[in-house]
Amino acid sequence: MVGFVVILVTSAPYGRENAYGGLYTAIASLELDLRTVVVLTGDGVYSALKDQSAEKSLGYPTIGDLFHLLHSRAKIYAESSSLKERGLGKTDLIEFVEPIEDMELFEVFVKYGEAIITY
Amino acid sequence: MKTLTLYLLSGPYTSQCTDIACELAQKALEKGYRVNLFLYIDGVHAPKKGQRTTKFPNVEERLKKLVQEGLSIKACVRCASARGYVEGEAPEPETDTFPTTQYIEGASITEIYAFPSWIKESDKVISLGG
Amino acid sequence: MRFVLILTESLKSARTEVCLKYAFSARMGGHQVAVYLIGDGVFCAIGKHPSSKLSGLLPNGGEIYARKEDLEARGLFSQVLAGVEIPSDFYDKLIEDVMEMADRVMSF
Repeated sequence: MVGFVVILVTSAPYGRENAYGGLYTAIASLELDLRTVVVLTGDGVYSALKDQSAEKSLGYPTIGDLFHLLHSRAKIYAESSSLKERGLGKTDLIEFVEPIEDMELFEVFVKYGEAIITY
Repeated sequence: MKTLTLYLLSGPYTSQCTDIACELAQKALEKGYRVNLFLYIDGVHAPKKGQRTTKFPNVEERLKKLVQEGLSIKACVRCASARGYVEGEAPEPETDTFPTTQYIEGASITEIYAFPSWIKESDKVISLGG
Repeated sequence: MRFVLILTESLKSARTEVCLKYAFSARMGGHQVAVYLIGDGVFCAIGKHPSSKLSGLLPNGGEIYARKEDLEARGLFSQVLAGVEIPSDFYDKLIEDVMEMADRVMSF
């Protein structure tokens, strides 16, 4: 039976519901004691940008706030190659999100990817 | 008996993913596996009653047949409520499902926790769409 | 480990890029990789594409399967890359692999 889940976010936030969906699922998984890792890849890395204020501007919940709910209980990684392709680095990100190199990230799938859910 | 959970994020007809999910469910049931289908984001439209297609396979009919063959279907209340499917405030106490008259028999609306609960019981999980 | 990657999107989709990246990472890490192309994923199985990255998996021991019905629907049946297998019952093969052989399953 599955004991670990990897939430893989590939979509940018706000334009689609996917990133929210992934992070809400991560929170629910932790509530049920399912060990959870969040991986941001491709445009998903934009979910981790600092200084988001979607509530004020769009009336949508701010995704960054969901990271605050997660960070003490789950590792949150942003793929370094995706960050570099987008001209982003660690200093652009919410503090709890860790950049991770491709091969190290792949080891996350090997170690924890009993269920890998793509958003 | 091994369990496969399918997770569908796209709505029917817009994307081929709903048909793919149905075909995977069909094959897995034929091979003797337990199969769950959790519906999220626009996936919650899949079990809506009253679908009338002209040229495309009818998803409602497919899901009804799969339910008869043993498929379990649940939809996330946050997504289903946003899309107008939830017809009451609180879950029904005996089943922990939220009321709707708009879904086929065998499909229910639940808290999102049903999905990680199914993940924990499953041998494998496949996500589609989104 | 055996990785099964299920791809439903066409060649230039952002998710396809992620899928192919992980397929190659898996091979580089010495893992078995099987990529199943369904729906628009079958567009990645054709040989004509000048930038078809998927073919790079084949010489390195990767397995690629494409669904016949999706190839036929899209007029691609005669253009499939050498080495891509077209199972007579694609879903039977995929479910068998996922449930009985795969250690990790990723879908895009």
